[in-house]
Amino acid sequence: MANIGGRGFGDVVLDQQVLDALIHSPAGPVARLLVKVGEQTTQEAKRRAPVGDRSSKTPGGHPSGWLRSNIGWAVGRDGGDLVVDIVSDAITSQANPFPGEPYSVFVEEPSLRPRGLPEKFRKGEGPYLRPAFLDVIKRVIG
Amino acid sequence: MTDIVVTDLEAAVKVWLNGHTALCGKGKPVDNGFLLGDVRSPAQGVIGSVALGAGSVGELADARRVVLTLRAVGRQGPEGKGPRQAVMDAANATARVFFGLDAPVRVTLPGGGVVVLRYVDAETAQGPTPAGDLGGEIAYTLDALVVAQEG
Repeated sequence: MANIGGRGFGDVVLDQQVLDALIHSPAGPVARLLVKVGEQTTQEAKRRAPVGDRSSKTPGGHPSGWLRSNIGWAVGRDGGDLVVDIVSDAITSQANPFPGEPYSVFVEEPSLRPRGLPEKFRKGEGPYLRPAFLDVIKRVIG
Repeated sequence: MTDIVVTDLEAAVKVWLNGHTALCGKGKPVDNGFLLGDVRSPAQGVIGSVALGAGSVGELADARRVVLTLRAVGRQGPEGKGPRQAVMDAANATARVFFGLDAPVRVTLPGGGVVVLRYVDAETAQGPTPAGDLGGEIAYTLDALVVAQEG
């Protein structure tokens, strides 16, 4: 603990253990705020993610809603700081001519597609993660 | 010259928790027991991990924040409990044991050393709190300051 002298207000006592619990604990108050952001952003991104009209009929293809079902979150640590990762790790299926590519990234940022995409498949493309995150941050933090 | 004493706190907590037969083992809340470091959940059963938390060591030389994380994926047990329910149950059972440590326990490590877990500082206890929902894997975490000494 550290005592900081005041003038007319007595001493201010900083309890390092309490500060640690507040800032560093992955189950503490800061972490709980990150959990709230992670959970709400995930749900908002799922709502915004495009969903195909039907499941792929090609063997090894993805069912309808594959991207939506592959969005998640996890509280972790980056160096000494708590972080929340909101992850969309859907990749193109084995039925795709280019399997294993980061399909979730391409939907979020279509300009990153190395080969473009036929017009008929472009429906609903566009960011779903970043707008979801910005909406939630506005709601949670103001 | 002063001897440097290193207390393997994570390992001691892991061994101590795994020794609770009502908590860890087949058919118990934490079926797969506790491991060190960051682990991924197996197809069946809840798994726990033990890690040291960030932050200062405080006023006591052998006091560190210990973080326990419970994880599971898919339906669990004969009653087909959902992973969230299974992990919540495991986290609550773990919290009762971990936060309840209020008297010294001698733990013999697999490598041969002895660590005395003196107590868990209940005032620093946090959680259980959700920690993730990623690819169907649910995680809950809890932590507290553990005071220990070399045996």
